Amino acid sequence: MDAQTANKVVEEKIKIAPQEIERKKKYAYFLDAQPKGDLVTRFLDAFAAILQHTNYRFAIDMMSKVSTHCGRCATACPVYQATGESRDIPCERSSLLLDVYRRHFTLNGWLKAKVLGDGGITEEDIDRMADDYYRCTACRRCNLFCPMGVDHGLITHLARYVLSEIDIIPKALLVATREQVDGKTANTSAIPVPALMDTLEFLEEELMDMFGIPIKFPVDREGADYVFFPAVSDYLLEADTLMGNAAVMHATNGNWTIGTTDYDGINYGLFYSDYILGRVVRMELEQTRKLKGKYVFIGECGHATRSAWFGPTFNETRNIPVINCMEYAHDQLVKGNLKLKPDVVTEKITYHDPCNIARAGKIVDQPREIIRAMAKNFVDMTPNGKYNYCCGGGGGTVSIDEIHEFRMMVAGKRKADQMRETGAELVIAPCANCKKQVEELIDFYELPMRKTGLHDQILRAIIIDK
Amino acid sequence: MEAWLWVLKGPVFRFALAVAVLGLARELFIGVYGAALAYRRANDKDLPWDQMWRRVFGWTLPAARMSREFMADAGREFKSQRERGAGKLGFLGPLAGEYMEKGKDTFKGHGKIHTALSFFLHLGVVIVPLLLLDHLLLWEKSIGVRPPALPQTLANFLTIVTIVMAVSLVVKRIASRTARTLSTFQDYALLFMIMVIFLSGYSASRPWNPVSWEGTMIIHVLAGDLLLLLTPFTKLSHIVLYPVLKFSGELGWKFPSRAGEEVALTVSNKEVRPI
Repeated sequence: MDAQTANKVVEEKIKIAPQEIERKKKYAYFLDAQPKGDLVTRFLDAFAAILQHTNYRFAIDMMSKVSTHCGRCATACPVYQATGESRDIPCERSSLLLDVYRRHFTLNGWLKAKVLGDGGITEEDIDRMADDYYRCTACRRCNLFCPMGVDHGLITHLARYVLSEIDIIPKALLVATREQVDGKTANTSAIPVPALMDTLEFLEEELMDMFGIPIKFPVDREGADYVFFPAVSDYLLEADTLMGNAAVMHATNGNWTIGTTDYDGINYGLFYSDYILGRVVRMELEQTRKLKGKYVFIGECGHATRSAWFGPTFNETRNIPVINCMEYAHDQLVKGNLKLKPDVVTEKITYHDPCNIARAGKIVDQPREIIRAMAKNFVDMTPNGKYNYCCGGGGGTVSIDEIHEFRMMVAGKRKADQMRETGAELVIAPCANCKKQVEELIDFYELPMRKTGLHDQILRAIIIDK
Repeated sequence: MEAWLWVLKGPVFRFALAVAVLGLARELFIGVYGAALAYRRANDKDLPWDQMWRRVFGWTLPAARMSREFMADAGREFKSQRERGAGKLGFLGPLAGEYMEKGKDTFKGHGKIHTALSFFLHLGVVIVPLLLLDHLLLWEKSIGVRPPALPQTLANFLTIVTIVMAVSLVVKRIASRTARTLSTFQDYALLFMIMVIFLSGYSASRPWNPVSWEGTMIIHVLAGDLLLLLTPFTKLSHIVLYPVLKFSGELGWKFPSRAGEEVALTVSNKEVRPI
């Protein structure tokens, strides 16, 4: 197109809609991806593509056939317990997506719709889904109570995945992920490497003051066994947790390192997109391979651990095992390499199980044994372990500041009650998301306690031979 | 009347049974084949088999499952109590002290009543139709084999239990706000049909029955045939799908390694999706 025709086109446009252009000048807006076609078709296209390439079709096909509507999941859901609204019943929420599946992807449903005159999914339905599926904290507690084995957490994940493919994603998650996957700093908090080095130097100085010996944060050490991926926000917010990690590694002679290509364990893909999940997990694996590490070593973070457990799914070559820092510390404690003073932590202390590591029963007893080794006054919440309640910030909702009130008054209410009941002075929340949420809950409900990480307390109690 | 009853007991029943058996076989095939296919496609084949099997069998006997969960929780608490040096209850600790408290709290309101009702309903629905003497005599007439029957008193007792359970489940569905919101026509209709079948079967030859034997039997057989016909197309398909279901969640979380890219390619024609 030459300049003359271009000018003509512009003139044409101005002639057709001068007001439109005026309006655009006045109110500039940001649009990330141009919507193609209408929403309903795009939704169904995305849904079809996902069903085609994943195993979700098998799962939701089974689930859509036998859902028994008994309401047991409602008794398990902290969100429903707080609101009592029918749209927060896990089964009701799941039926939003299952109905679309039945109506548009099965012969029975299509026939039924023909008989009953059901027009199928509308834009309002999609709006409702976008709303309701982000009211679920994806804690998967309901799954334990469903007699039919319907995994509402899986359905929430799938619905969000479909929505993300038509560009319906909470902005907070999108912005962080974009920086992590496509950005220069390659992490969700946009911490550049020099800032990371500064932080590490500062932490090393602090450790020097504390113990009187140099305790290092080794960076880019090739051939290290453990390549460390904490939630990157810990570098900004949770200095004590990281110092605890370093102290444990020093005391146990752990050969560990922090890679500078990727040092972020956060993986929001677990909350809304398998595509992102895969890309971030591959970044971790690549960094580990590059440093010839033997383990993906995850810091105190629930969802980072669970998403790293997806490693074998995305790893086409050699499998790299994942180990959480609490598993490591427990292992070393049992072996006798990690020694803790039994009388330093004197406060009444309680432990919050992050859903992502406790729900499958994988990391439940290890942290408790570590706590008992250093604290006399430990009290469990009820219920706990596999049956714990979500802190209310699961499924990425903790990163969305716009719904702070929802997180406090609805999703986190049950947890706040639980914490109050224990009467503890310290709440251990070994997960970056839970830490933020628990801290905000303590502020909001004015609970007489402090939040802390497990390694913060280990840092207080650890014995380091000089 | 007689002729109608004969038609319903004979050809219609055979047709309904054939539909039920073939339909359920089809469902089972879809389920098992789907599971096998999903397993083959998954890049990560490391599934928590023990957990999955435990779930299948655990939920078959919910009472056992619940008591085990009580004991597991109680056991952990008891251990911690002992480590704290606070356990003064000794052997009775897990039973008397924390056990009751713990069990009460963990499962409070988590559908214990529903579990119990549902369990006894299933007991009756599975055992009585298969092992009732009158049904077995019919089998003998048609295929010549008669397995040992249930004692008549026990059968009567189980029938009454089933009716009471079905009524209670309907009442519970109406009374519980969550269940009422969720319930669809199917949920009520199936329970109602079970009620009708068991009640008509029980009352057919009783002296107090105001309706004639033939009349009652027609209702009994008609409802029975209808239920059989509907089995593969309703939630009753859990008769065969139940074990597959318990596996479906775990299998759903495993997928081919490039699934995300394939989806992006299909949706937007780009493998590297703009974020």
